[in-house]
Amino acid sequence: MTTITSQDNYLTYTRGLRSWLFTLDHKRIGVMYLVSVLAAFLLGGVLAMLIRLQLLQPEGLLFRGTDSSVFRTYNELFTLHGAVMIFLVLIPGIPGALGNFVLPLMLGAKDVAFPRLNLASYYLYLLGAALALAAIFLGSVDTGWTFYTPYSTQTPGAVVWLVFGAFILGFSSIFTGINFIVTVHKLRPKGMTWFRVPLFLWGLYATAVIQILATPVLGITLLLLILERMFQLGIFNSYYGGDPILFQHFFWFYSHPAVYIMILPAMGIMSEVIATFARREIFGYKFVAMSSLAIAIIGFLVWGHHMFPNGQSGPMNVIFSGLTMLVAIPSAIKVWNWLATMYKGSIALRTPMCYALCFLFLFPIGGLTGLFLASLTTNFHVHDTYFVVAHFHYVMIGGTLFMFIGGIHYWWPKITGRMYHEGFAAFCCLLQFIGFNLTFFPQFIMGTHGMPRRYASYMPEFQIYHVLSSIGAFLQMTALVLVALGLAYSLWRGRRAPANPWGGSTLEWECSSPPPHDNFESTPKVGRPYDHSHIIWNPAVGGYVRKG
Amino acid sequence: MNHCVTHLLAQASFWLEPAASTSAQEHDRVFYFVLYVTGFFFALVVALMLTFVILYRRRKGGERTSGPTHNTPLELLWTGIPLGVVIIIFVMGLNAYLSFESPPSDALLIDVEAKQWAFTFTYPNGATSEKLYLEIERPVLLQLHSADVTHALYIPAFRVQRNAVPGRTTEMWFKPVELGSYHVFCTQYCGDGHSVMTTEAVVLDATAYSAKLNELANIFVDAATKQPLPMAEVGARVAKSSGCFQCHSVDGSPGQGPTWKGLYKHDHRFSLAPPGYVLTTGDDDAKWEAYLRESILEPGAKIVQGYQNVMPPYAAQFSGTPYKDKKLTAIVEYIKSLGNPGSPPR
Ligand code: HEC
Ligand SMILES: [Cu+2]
Ligand SMILES: [Cu+2]
Repeated sequence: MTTITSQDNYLTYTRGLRSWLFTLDHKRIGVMYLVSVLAAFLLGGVLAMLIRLQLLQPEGLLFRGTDSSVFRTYNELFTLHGAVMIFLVLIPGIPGALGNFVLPLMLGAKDVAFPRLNLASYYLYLLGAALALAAIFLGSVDTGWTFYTPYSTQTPGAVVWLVFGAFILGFSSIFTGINFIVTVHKLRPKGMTWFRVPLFLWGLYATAVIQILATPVLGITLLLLILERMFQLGIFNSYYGGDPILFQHFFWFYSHPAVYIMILPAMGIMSEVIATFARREIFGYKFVAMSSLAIAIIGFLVWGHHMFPNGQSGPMNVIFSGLTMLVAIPSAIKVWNWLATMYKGSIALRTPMCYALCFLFLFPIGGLTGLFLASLTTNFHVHDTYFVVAHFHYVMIGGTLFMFIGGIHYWWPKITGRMYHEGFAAFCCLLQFIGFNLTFFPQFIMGTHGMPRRYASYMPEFQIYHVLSSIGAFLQMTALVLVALGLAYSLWRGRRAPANPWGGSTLEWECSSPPPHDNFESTPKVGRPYDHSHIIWNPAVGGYVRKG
Repeated sequence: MNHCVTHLLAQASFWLEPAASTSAQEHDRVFYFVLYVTGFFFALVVALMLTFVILYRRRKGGERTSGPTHNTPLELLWTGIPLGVVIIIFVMGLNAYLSFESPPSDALLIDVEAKQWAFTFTYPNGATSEKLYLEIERPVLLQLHSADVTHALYIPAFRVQRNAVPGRTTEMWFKPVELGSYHVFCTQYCGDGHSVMTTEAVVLDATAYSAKLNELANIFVDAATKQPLPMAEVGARVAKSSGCFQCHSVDGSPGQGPTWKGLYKHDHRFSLAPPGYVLTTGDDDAKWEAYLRESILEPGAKIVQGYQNVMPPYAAQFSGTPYKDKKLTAIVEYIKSLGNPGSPPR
């Protein structure tokens, strides 16, 4: 074990604003991503609160009136909420923030393969975010984050700005993907064969494959959309000879795989957290690793399930329904293997593990309700209702976001060098779990009773569900604010973190907390991942150390 | 509206409203099958998770763990079982879907036009309505198209939904089996009025249905008193149901098109018209009426100064049959009734 004094870490290595803005250190870039993503998350959350406020009353609480133009502001709110959460939070979140920080550490490397590209990716993220936010002030956008034509080519407002922002964000995502793929290929230490790569990295690797293959399609689609809007070329607008369904195909060809860009890294964190807190080698390592790749590949072939009632041909519907059913299998494999990892383990209910248990509860609900949407019969009933809204929030929030926050807690001691308050953090997790279910479970019921999505006003019989959902949302917001306060407090008053507070067996726990600028003094030796037998508790350090 | 509420409260189940069509009955069978199967697997996952958390919680000094690290037969088993289950779900879904896709040949054809933000239903006898009228036990085939952006027609009680896509015609069919009135929603986001693009589907018995269609067809007669209505009044309704008021006002307020208030018999200026054509207060009724008919059937022929050529032609709606022609006459009478030639030119 290397012990370095706390003065000498990546945070204190150099000082001043410039040393951050021009840093090539993957850890600092990771931290900058983390701060930016959390800021975007706050914005997305505030927008969600406004949406839930509006829906407290059937005729609308904030925007109401006899003329439907009063609803435009509501439509802008849900558009921005979706765009911010997807493009600024969920897609870049785990890879950009945690991936950047942890990936080289897990490889025992000094940095990613292309540090400059890494910084460029961060600045493109900022630029994309700035363009998207500029759209709010330049006329706003009411198309929904899906930008369906021909509405998006006709409605007034700053559609071009937001779309161009998403286009730029796509490049940021591609840069991260390229960097991660090359790093995993080239910078693995001696002894780390492909089947000894930590599962978080398998998750990031599979994600990176999707990022570089699918995102260019989004880029082209968004450019065509801009051209169509500015020059009426007749690509997507039937009035000029184009086809609106073509846009939907292009859009979902990216945006369905994007769902896996969001969930795969979260599944990677799941594997890390469960292995560490159950002190067990991951059960069925190869199946867990390969299922990530399977998801990445099959995930490319299911996009048409977003378009069953939209006018796509019957045979296409049948094919896409079948393929969509298949993509459920690798996820199921992962869930079984996580459970089997817990079997005969030594399970410590620390906060990251609490988040992992939430995931094991919420993600199956999200995944299994996907079968209702994949089945052709039931899709025609619940398509574009709140059932869909509930389904994807169970996957994206219950899955991705819970593990993002779980991962932040898991690596918090490593990133900041401080321990947060365990009891308080676990309490916040519980609060969030309750708030989450209260928000989104009633939405399933609304959906099967026929409540359409993207409605600014609704039939009075749905009010009870909407009120429950709003209360849940406010509870979640409270919980998240408490999480943030708890973490912030730890920066100031938290106990200093040992190198390995949880007994993790991957390499990032070998260097001190926070890591020194160069991560490791010498490249560490690697054996089987998730072998906890030689990692033992040392009361003197207040953490775990390697035996011998 | 009220009817819908009482209907829901009376019979709603936890997950689904009562099935009011044959497609809904088929849907509900599949829905509950998927619900029970997925419910079982969910319960299994949560039960295992809780059991392990309790059974294998970390005890003091108990950091040593045992247990297998892999087991290929087990992996294959828990890959195979879910695979079998999703195949069954897929086949069940496919079966019902194939029947959704093959409308019976005796289905009643109803044309649906979706437009920001209302649906217009046109029946085989030419009648049109804003509500969807259906006959019990009689299959219907809806042909949907859109006049502007993409919309979708969704009737939860029948478990059917289909998009209306600009530039193409989509179809869906179903057979209502319960009397009553049901919500109809637009489920494809279509702009400001998306959430008010709702109406009702009313299922009637055979006698009431044919009476209703006749009544709808005969817009020239008052439904209650059976007396002929004044033409101008009929014209006002036709104009409303045809969507003219999206661009035209009748109170002088500006819009995409010229207001109809005081339009009749006022000096006109055109940005486009055949050379030498003029239209003034002094021209006789025949010339004015001919102009009005032409501006509705073929708006591009002459363009009023200060306006764009954006009005769609209405020849298909208001010419070709005596009935359609009579509707046009009604609109013209209505526009005439809004003009008062005595007042100063606008
Ligand atoms: C999309 C908007 C739009 C709709 C819908 C529309 N109009 Fe027009 N209308 C216009 C515009 C713009 C003009 C002026 C340009 C022109 O002369 O074509 C116009 C002109 C007219 C005129 C001539 C006005 C004058 O001052 O001489 C009449 C009559 C008319 N419309 C009737 C109708 C009727 C009847 C309907 C419904 C069946 C209808 N319009 C629907 C946009 C519309
Ligand atoms: Cu999808
Ligand atoms: Cu709509």
